[in-house]
Amino acid sequence: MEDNRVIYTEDLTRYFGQQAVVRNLNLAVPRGAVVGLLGLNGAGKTTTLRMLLGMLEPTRGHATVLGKDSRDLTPEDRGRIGFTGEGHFLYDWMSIRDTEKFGRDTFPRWDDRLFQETVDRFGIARLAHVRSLSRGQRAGVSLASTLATAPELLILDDPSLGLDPVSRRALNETLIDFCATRQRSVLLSTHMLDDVERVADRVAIIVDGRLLVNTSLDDLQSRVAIWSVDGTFDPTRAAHVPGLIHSRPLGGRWMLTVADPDAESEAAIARLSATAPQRVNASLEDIVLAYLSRSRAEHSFYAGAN
Amino acid sequence: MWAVLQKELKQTARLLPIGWVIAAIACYLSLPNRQSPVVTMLLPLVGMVSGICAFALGILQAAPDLNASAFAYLHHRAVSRSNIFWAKTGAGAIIYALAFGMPLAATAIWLSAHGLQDYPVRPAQVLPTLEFVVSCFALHSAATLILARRASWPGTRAYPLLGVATAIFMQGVYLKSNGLHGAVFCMPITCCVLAWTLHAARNAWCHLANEPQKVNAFRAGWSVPAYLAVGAVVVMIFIVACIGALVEQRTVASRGYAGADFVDAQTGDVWISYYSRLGEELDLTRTRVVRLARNVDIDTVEPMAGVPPTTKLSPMLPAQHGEGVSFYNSDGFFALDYRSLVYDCRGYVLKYVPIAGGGWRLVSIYDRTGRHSADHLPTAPFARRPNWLWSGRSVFAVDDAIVQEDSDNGKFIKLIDAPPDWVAYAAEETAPTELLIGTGDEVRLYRLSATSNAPAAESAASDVSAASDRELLTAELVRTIRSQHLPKPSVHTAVTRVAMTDVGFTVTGYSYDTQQRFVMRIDNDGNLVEQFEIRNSSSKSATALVMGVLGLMPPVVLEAADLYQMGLAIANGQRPVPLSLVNTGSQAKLTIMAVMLTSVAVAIGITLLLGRRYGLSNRKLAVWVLATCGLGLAGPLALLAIYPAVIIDSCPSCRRPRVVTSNRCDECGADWLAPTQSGIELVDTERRRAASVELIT
Amino acid sequence: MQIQVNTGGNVPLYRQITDQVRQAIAAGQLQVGDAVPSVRQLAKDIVVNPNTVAKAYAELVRDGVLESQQGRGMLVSARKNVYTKAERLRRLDQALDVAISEAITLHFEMDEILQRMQQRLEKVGLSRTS
Repeated sequence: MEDNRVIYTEDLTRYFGQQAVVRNLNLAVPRGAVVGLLGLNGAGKTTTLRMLLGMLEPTRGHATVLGKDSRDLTPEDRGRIGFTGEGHFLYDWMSIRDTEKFGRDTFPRWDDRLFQETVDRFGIARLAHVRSLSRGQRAGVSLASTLATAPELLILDDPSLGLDPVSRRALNETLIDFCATRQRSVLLSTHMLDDVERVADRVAIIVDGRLLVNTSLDDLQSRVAIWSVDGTFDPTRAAHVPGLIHSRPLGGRWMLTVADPDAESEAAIARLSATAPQRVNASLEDIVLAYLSRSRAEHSFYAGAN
Repeated sequence: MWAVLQKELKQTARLLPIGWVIAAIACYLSLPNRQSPVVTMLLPLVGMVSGICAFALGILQAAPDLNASAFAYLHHRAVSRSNIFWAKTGAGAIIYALAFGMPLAATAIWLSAHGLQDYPVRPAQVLPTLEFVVSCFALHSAATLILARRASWPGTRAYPLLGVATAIFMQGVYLKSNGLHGAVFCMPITCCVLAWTLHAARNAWCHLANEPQKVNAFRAGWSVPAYLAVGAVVVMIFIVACIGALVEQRTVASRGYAGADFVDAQTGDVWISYYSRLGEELDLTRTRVVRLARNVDIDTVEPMAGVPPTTKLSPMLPAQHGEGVSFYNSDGFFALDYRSLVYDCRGYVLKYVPIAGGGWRLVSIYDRTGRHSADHLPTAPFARRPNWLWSGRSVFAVDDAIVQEDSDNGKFIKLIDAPPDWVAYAAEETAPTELLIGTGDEVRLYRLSATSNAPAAESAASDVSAASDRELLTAELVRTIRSQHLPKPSVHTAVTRVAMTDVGFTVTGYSYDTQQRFVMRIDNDGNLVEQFEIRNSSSKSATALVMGVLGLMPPVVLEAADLYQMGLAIANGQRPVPLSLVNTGSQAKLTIMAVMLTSVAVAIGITLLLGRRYGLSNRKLAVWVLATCGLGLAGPLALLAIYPAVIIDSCPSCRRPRVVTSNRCDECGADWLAPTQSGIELVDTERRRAASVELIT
Repeated sequence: MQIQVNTGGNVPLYRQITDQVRQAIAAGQLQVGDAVPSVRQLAKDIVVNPNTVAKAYAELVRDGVLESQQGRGMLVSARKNVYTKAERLRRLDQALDVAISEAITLHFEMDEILQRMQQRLEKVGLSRTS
């Protein structure tokens, strides 16, 4: 059976000093999927991506990328994986033509047309020098260099950081274009929830080095619900609600975000509240924020309640 | 790879002009001039500059790419890491070769244009420097290795530099004075050092460079850990040398040898002068002489205030060995005497005169037969460097005789026809009076006298020759003592001072084996009257202490040094003396042994402790203990450099601490469990995913 | 047919697409037999992941709103199947909820509302079925 996963990791763990930055991560990316990797700064996103690319040795566990252990990626394998790192690194002393030439000479499947298309989309004059580029244009050249290698798998580390709306739009269009055939996969780490909603069909959320969510967007949205309960509710007792992700006060009421709600959790919420709790629809942003807020909550009262 | 090489070349090319300027300045400064007509500074100056440049180039090439994004940008390509390393190093080598090759080539052209006629220089003199510059490129790899391997700077980070820098420094010292032969001899060493550093740096770049923290160096194969172990040994040697120097400075004998020996002409007794040393102050006013005898310890005997009036002391004559001290600053091509005579190591003596305008001009060339014109090299080169015996420079100790130059035709006239092992002479003003010569089993005393038959009138023309130059000497054999006990200069023994007395022959010397000065007296019939080491208890105990410090050295280094000196002795056709380093008396021997055993024991203890902390298996630990027996205190240092500290976390099953890198807990054998589920994990199962896949197709 | 999606809301994008297709059919902008843009084209036009568009189309096909024809792409199949019965009721309730709450805010009585409602319905040509 052909493996349908372009990336999967088994208990991937990485320590820096005494601290586990990534803990027992089991991430799977199916072929054709666009996965938005979400998490706070320092949650372990970049560390995970670096391990996937074989740029960092896992302390424990394995990562398999395009069927290969990430530690043993050959140059040919690297030619099939496109990567754009944080900050869109390019050599400042090169011109765009030099950058293009350097890419063409170091990737076997380089496609000039793809490079041209992307550069055009970002509205960049090809004769320009890298050091004279704006942040958005730099992102364009960087993406163009990556996409022109015609990769099967694209790994992007926070590509929209610091981009203006026009460049972000161009970035999204580029990505949609890239995965139009639905055979090529993307793993995209970002903080832009709007972009994830548009461009991705799956989300993975890392909190404190742990992967808490890895599912399709609509699965996530259908499985997480928010209850609004009145102000007499005692947040310290909320830990007894099964599947509670996060609770936060909102204008005299408490919003409880719950994963996989069932009768039991509904009953538990009802017990906490003086009046009947109201179920409201959750947007992607609500859900992601609830998960990401746990990072901080876990270190305060929530940890004690566990 | 070519694309990366091209990119590296473009990126590094901007450093080339800087390199040129630096190299050109270094070459220019070492060109000869009126004050120093030889180019002995070429290797030290250009070599030092090239070493710094190679290291800086390595840093400048490696550092920018170690930033995580830059590293990923360069390395995430369809190019292997190894090729990227070679491209970087290749580009570095090309830039480095251009930066130093061109100025050196220009220097060689300059030297060949001015060679011999204007200055004692030859273009071949550039070759040892060139070779040294080539081996300095190892510092480029060392820089790469330092940056690729993460460790703290005060800790073990600089280790890769130490090993190679020491090797290069020693090579430089050797190349500096051994000319072309040295260059040829060093060639394999250069190749080995370069190959090893390149290999280690390549492995470090491929396997360690992207790790933001220190990792087990064995991940990069064997070459990097082996390299680090060498670094540890060098650190240890350096530490021991520092401690040794410190101890020596603090404890050295209160009385020092002042450098003059006297002899009582009637009895043949040796008197030496010494000064009192209080701390580091040299108190010349308290310089005294004391009579030496077998049982006299110059540190305990009360110095006699002056010399008894009945004794007539005369100074012993300093003995000059075959290779004269009157030439200095030799680079293996040319050696300069204190004025303008130059020994060309091909076996000629060149005579230069200063000319108006600041330069020099070659006026004549000497070979075994005498003086020749400067037009071409004569045909009978000296077998070894001749000695200039008098400042008048007309008497020479050459290969097999003492000769004097006939100032008229330049021919050498033989005064004494015997190959000298050493020569000593007494002179009054510029006129020689007595000459002692050691040749084979004989020591001969000659009396020299001038035969004033030279035409004195034409002497005014030359500014060098004085009237005494023109006098031909005659040598009259006064006495001969034949003895089989005569000391001969060798790698074991030095003959320092000699004297012929009424009762025989007295000599003081230095034994390299025991590192002690000795006195030997031989009577007129050639019998050994007495031979004893000069006793100096405080310096002996100081030596014992210094030797004790030596015991801290890695035992392998001591053993290697021992093997080296024995090999040297065998190579020189002498009897090898094992453990001569430690052969300085039982006290020193005991100290060094005790210190060595203690230090090895301590080292093993530290190794065991560290090994536990680094989570080494019992088998590896055993190997390390074995290695520590050879490496001494350098063993734990190497361990420290090679392994990172192990990260310990509590086991999720048994709650006891366990090493995070191993999959199974040593205590309870459990796997690492996934962190406890808190019920909020949302992961689509295979079934769910299959359903959604079906849906969208 | 113009499809526009908004991110950041609590309606998933694929539902926004299905809704808008259904509405376009209901409003007559799309007739039976008309082709809708291909997955690829629509994804590109509205800058949405093609898998999301495909999922929306798949749901519409499952519900019988669209059918896939070899060589012609996605076609509008039958108007009656635009919504399920339950969905139709849910949507009617949703619309009525808005109207009713507004009416109550404006202090209308039930009779007035019903009467008004009836007038409006007759005006667009609907009459009682029984």
